[in-house]
Amino acid sequence: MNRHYIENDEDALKIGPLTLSSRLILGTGGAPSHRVISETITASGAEMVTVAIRRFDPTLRDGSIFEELAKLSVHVLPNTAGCFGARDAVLTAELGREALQTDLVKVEVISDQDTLLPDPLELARATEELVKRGFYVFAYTNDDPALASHLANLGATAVMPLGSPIGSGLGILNPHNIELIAERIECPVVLDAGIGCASDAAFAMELGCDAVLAASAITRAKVPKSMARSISMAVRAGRLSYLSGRIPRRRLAQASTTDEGKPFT
Amino acid sequence: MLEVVLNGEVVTIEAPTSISKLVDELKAPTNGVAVAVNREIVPRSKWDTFFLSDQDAIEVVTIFQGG
Repeated sequence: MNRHYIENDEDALKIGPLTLSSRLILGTGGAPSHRVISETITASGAEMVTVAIRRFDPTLRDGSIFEELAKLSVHVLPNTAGCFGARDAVLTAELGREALQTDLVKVEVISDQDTLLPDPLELARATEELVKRGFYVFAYTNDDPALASHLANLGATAVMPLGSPIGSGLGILNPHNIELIAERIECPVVLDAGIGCASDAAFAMELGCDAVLAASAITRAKVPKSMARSISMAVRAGRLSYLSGRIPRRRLAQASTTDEGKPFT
Repeated sequence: MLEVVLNGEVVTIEAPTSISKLVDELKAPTNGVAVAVNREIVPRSKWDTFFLSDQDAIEVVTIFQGG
């Protein structure tokens, strides 16, 4: 990082087969309507969005979001939200691959309905199997550096540690671990889950994450469109701050003004 | 007639019914949809020639908003 000045535009994110200029990935869950999703995608400039795989229901007015997203030309990352075991996650990933004709998948294997925390063993099993089947696996994981390493070694395209539980808006509860994961893992690290507001997103990027995924923080904000813009700017600001190199923390003050030439001495 | 489980509900359908016919009758869009029968994906290229059997468990899915 020897550049004197770093332009964000030169700083694309290479993730699996894709190159993205926006480091914000949007989760579409929790939005009150398809229109709001479209507005937040446009306002944020995000180039990748996540979707879930669910049973087709002819009675739903806002049913499939396929056509809506096709109009916006964004990369669509199907997830395996709600799966409790590797077997269901693998089948759901295959459904996503067939529906969207994509090899991308965000693997979520949860351990219980209350915390929605990832089940580490089933997650590792699903990741291994899906990599074997030729998927680009984006693995939603706990903020555990050891597990993140395992997932990367199993061939994950990206590891996506949670800042805090999904939809909690509690921000990054263990910044030290997130920083360690970002430092140690070779593949892209995407902070996923727990973002509550723009400063959380900036903080994730300052910790060294390569990207941020935000869903509820945007879709459930009072004004989703402006929160999308705000979080998108925070991701850019946080990335630039990280690349620019923060000053070390000190216990005591260090004058920014020299004492030399001070009058009355 | 066949008795099958379609998206978790027991329904009766005519025999023979192909996946193409089933998807059509559901008025599902053709894009962004996937079908599994007895936990095996049936690729779109086989929808015309894959005929359902009695007691098949069929999932017809599409993409929804989700984190």
